[in-house]
Amino acid sequence: MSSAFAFMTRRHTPLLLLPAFALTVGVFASAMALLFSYSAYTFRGGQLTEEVSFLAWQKFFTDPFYWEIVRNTIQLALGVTGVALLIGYPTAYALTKVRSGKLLVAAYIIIFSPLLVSVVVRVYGWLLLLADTGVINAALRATGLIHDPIRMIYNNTGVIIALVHILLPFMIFPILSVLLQFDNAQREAANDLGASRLQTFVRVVFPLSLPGVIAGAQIVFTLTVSAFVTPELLGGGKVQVLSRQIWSNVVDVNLPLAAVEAIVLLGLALGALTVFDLAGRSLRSMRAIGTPRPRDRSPGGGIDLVLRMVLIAVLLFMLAPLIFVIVNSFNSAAFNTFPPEGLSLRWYQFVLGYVPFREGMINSLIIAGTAILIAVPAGTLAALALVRERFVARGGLRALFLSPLVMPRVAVGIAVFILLIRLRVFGTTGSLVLVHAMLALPFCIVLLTAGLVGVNRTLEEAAMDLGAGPLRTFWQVTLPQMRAGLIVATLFTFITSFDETEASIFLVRPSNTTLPIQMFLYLEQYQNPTLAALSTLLIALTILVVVVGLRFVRGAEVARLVARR
Amino acid sequence: MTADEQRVANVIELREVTRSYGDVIAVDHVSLGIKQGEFFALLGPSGSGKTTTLRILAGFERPSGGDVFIRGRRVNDVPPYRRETNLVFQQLALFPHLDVYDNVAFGLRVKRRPAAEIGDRVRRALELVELADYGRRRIHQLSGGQQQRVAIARALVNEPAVLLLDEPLGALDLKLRLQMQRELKEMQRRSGTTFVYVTHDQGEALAMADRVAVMSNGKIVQIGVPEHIYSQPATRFVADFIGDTNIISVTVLERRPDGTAVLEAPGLRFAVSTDASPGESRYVSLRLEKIRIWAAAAVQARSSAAYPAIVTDVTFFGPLTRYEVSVGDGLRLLLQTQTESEEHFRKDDRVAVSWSPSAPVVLEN
Repeated sequence: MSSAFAFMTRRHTPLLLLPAFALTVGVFASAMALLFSYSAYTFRGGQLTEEVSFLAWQKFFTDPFYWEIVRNTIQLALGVTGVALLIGYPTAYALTKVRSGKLLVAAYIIIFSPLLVSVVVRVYGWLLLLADTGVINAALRATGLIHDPIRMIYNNTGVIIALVHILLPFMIFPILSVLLQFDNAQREAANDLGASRLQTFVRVVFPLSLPGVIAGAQIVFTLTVSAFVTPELLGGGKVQVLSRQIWSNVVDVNLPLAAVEAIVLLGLALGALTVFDLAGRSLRSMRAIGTPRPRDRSPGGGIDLVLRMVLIAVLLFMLAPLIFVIVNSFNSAAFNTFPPEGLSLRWYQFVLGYVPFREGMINSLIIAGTAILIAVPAGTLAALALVRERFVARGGLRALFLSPLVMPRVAVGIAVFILLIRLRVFGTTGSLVLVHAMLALPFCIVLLTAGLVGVNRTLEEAAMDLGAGPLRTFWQVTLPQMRAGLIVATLFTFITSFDETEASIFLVRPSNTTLPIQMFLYLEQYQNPTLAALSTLLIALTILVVVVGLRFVRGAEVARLVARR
Repeated sequence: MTADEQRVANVIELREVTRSYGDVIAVDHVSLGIKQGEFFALLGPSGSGKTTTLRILAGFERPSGGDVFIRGRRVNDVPPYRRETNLVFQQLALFPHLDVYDNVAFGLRVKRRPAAEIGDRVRRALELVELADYGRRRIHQLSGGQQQRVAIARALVNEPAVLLLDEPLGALDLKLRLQMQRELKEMQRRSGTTFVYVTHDQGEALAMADRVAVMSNGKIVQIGVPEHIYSQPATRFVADFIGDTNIISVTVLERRPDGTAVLEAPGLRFAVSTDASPGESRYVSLRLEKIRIWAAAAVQARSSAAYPAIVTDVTFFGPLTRYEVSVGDGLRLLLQTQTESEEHFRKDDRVAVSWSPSAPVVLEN
């Protein structure tokens, strides 16, 4: 590398990579290795022995019970992916037609809002809406359409609805980005050749947007396969999927079987990623020829009535659970009814005085804060080496650092659980910090790599030319230019850690736990508006953190970072 | 002919067509008629309104004022997919998810033509552009010139009343561009289709078109056959834009009975055929190749109207040599000679220059 900056980094490349490497290998890779070895051990008469027998593998692959669970898992994932596509595609299409900038920003915020709220809060919101005494059934009964409530929770329906709600942004975003880059000359060419608007869509626009559809389906399918909290809380034991089976086997201390199931889950996730990748690759020939002209200047390209209604319906769908959580927090009744019997602030009083929540909150803030102090610097140094240096294992190391992203959280949870037990540090705050930092590190590396690519290197050279040493140059010239990336990476790490449930649930002791786990356990036992009050406070906190965080970055910078992902 | 008969005779007729975006007027009261079977070029620099005019013909832009007629029918409100025009896009806009055959068949399929007819017409269109064996190729497997021909076949297969071409050769390299110019002209002749061709390349327009409309600032400044536009540019803009020329600022001194007038440039007088009145200030275009250069000695012998000059610069262009000379009171003129067949001069040589009375063209103000 010819840049003057290189001389600072070249000798130090291994040093730059060390923190990220230690975190990924020390926590993640070694835990996964242990997972594989435990799957071979023996569980007999309620006791775990380190005798290598492969009995768990044998049991899993010969008992039809487990086949049924795998089938259910795949069916659920297919169902969620299908519904998300049917809703997500028209939504993305409608978004490309919105002309008003303010409206568009509002729509983006609403669609992505569920990602900022803990999965437990979202599930709680759906319980309020879908329960037998919930909002929807109450409304239907009030209009006299039905007499007996429609069962929507404790079966597949509720689980699918809630998963679609959570995962819809992941379907909309890739389709939207393909449609936004769509070469308008293609649309005009079809029009010129006599194709009406509908014919143009069916024959040209939709086929050319398939890469976005596949990318969206890939993420939604993979995340549904790994989902745990939603089927656990909304399935009421009736929705049998692999992640829940792992959890119940861990509770039974049957670690070999849980390990086998985690590995199968991992295999399902990787298999799905591969299949969708191959499908995407077969579309490679669809790359555009010439320079695309994406802006739609043609007259009459506005949003029509049907699309407008689709968009409004989807936005309401995205907001509904959050809105009813907030409404219910002021409910004076001790159980979840709709409409509220009266208004009261007593649940807020209760939440603020409830010791487990207060302790969980303090723990969560300490863990998230410490995880940021580890993940963001480690990610910055690794990004510096990955962007600026050319070394043999660069591609491989990048893949290693990003690999925790594709692993189902439940599988990570049980693997790390085994590791922590072996190291005798199970249940300590420090272990949770390291795990959360490890889970957030891939996001940091992706965001900071994007941020670093945008840094103007001439400025670094100018600083050095003016006499600034390498460290001073990095501190005073490079880092300030990465500001947007650093802030967004910090936010991502905070949200990842603060909302982390599916891996952490394996890793906490009842005496030392985090807030989302406390909420999860509370929700499994009680269903009163306490959780609504807490959720409302958390939503307010999240909005505050994001607004304050984004005050320091311009919208354009965030858009650039997200677009690069 | 009445206006109505004129409208029918012309396959395309624009009447006072205007297109404005807010304060910006892209096309300014353009009127023109294009005849059946003609190869018509819209020529102008970028921003002159030529592409907007083409997009108005295709139906992608609506005129803010004026009327557009295709085959005598007013089409102002007809969307592109119901027009008898087809466009060859500047960026080609071939569908990357379809192969060559399916690209060409696209227009016939959306119009639900019978399968046998589609097969027949697509095959003939591919033969016309000499890609008969390429039907099952993917678009990105073709060379630039082949993609160009697919785009033309995809438009021509619909047998449009007019084929519109938006700088279709812009992306090709020089050699391929010259070859495609010949091929396009040949395809136009064989298919008998009316072509409207937009370009900023004056060489391309002159080489291919039956008639050329030169556009500037949203207006048509001159329409005519290429030879006429080249030899008799109407305005200073046309003279400057098409070919290389000397633009000389002159004053009209006096008119003569034979219809010519005597013009005066700094230190230089010459006669030219014009209707300009005495006292007027005008510009004159004098093409480089119309000026002859002599050794100073030869002029004495010939005693014809020649002006003494000094060579100030010599540039060698292979077959041509270009001289800059200073004539009269320091007027600089460019001229060029055939390197092989004519005498050579060097910088600071004393020479004489001359031109025939018909060579200078007095331009409209």
